[in-house]
Amino acid sequence: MKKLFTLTLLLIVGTITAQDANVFLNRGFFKPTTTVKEVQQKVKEGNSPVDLSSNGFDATTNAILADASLDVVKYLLSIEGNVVNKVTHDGRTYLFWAGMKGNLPVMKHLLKLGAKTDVIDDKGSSALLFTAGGGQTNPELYNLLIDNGASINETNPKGANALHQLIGKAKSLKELDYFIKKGLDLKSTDKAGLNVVDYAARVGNKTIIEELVKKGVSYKDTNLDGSNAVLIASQGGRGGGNSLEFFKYLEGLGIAANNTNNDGVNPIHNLSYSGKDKALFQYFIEKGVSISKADNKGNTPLMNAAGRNSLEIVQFLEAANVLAKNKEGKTALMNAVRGNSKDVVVFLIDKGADIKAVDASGNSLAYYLLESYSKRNKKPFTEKWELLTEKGLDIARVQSEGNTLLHLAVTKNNADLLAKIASYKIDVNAKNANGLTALHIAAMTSNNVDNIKKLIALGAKTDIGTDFEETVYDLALENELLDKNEIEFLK
Amino acid sequence: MKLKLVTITIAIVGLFTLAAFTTVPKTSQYKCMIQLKNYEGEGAYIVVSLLDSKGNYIETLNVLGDDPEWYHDLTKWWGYFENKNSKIDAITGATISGGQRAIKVIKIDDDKLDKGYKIRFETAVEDQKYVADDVTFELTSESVNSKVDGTGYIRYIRMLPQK
Repeated sequence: MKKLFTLTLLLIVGTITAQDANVFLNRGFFKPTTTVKEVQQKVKEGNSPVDLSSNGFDATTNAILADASLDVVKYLLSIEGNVVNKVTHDGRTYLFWAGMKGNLPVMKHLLKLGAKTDVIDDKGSSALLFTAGGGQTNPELYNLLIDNGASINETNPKGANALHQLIGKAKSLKELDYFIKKGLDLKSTDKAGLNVVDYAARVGNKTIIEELVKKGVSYKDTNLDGSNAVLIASQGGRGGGNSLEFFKYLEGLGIAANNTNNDGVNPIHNLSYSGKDKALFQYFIEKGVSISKADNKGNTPLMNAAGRNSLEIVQFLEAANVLAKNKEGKTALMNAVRGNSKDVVVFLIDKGADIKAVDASGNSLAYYLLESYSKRNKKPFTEKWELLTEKGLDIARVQSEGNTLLHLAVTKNNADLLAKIASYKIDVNAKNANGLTALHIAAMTSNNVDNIKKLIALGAKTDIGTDFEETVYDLALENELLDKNEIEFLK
Repeated sequence: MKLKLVTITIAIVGLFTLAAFTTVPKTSQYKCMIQLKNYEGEGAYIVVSLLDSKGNYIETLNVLGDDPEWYHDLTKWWGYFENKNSKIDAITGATISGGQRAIKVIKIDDDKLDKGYKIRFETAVEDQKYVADDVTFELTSESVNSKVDGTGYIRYIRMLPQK
């Protein structure tokens, strides 16, 4: 028993070290006390100070986020490959991260090196808006950005300005004086009509709402999109939703709890994705919010919960018709198979969910099952595969755009998965709507020849051309990831 | 009476003739294959647009990427498209990832050929840089039957007139 435990532990440790071989990509390496010497030593040991992690963080970003010293950041920026406007996570440059942390010295250094203030990140924020989103209220940060070309009036694609971005983290209205002096208006709204009260409500900042109400900022109003502050609060911010107590506070202000916006979305829809507090659901039910009604896209609370909420909440929301489809023809079971555990899938099937349902684009549950495949975590996939095939799920069914499951599985780069699928009666050489066989796609996208060889072993023919008269070899030759010396067998 | 009928007939025939001459210009369909490089990362949002000779957007021909929340990442096109009420559902599809290809049918008015109009392919990938001119080429009788290399996420595009 103890041996098994040690082995498991070893395996876990092994996985961690393999994943985070580069210490700089490890959150926790950089500390405010980290010295340039220590960083240099790690570089010497072969850790790349330039490489990005799979989600776009690099050494410099991690150093800034960990409040490492200016010297450490300066050293990292002096390394070739860490250009000042390098694109990192969510399309942000270093200036965004330094701004979010309110790190004036690093910001000054970045701007001296030529950091641009007009870069817009993937979510649509500028460095100035992202600085505000970090809750920074030091006027010097903003003056610096504005002196370098930014404007206090910048808005994101939703029309939110610095005040909207900031209000969730604001501790008192006094902190906002600078922004108001600069011309921003507490009454300003974004494109959907949301004002600072709505933005504060989303993250449950009761203190600031109290001040805003006293100040005369409207809080009972219905926004252009039909929402009110309660509905916005039910969306929750990052890191968990709002408490029952907070909703009761909003209700006490005279804001209706039973609110549905123009998209037909009510608080229970919003909470159903990840809300875990049954009392909160119960509260809205008592206020007259429907537990089973679909929004305008056809999504019911059950469908939303089926995607990634707990079994307990899925069971709680079961009132909605388990067979219902949304406008895209998707069912709660499809959502569960794609994103949730076997338990939730079993529960929905026991309640009568249809394992033969097909969505509007022509995809069946088999498609969603494959979507749930993850190289890193195969267990839930394997469990659901066994359950559903036992229940008679048709693996051989051709999916949307003429794809067989083999077409869809090749991009997962896993030979075992291909063999598993090919054990069903699937035509290995079927062409999809784009005129491609599974082998064509393997030649185009694989990062090694194993996948390709496996398909050939399963009966894939190498002499079928694409509709553009390309051979499998042509496609492999164009693939930047394949070693060209290893593909001669396709000729 | 008879004269009146003749007049009406002429009028009607005239109307039809007029209608024939003022109908929408003839449109042709092209098969357009977008082949991506094997870059690392998320699926690419791609928009195919028709531009006039001065580089102004005239029409959105195709969109790969069905979540409007990310459209603003296609910065230049978004500047044109944002405040338009054009319906693009019919020409919108899923994103494609590194190494993959999409084959789309796009419609272009015949009178746009050989007049200096251009086709632009803009691309954006999460956590990575946006490429305004991944592929841009002038719309000519030759280029609608050709292969053009990309400069960003696109390896090349191939155009093929459809019969």
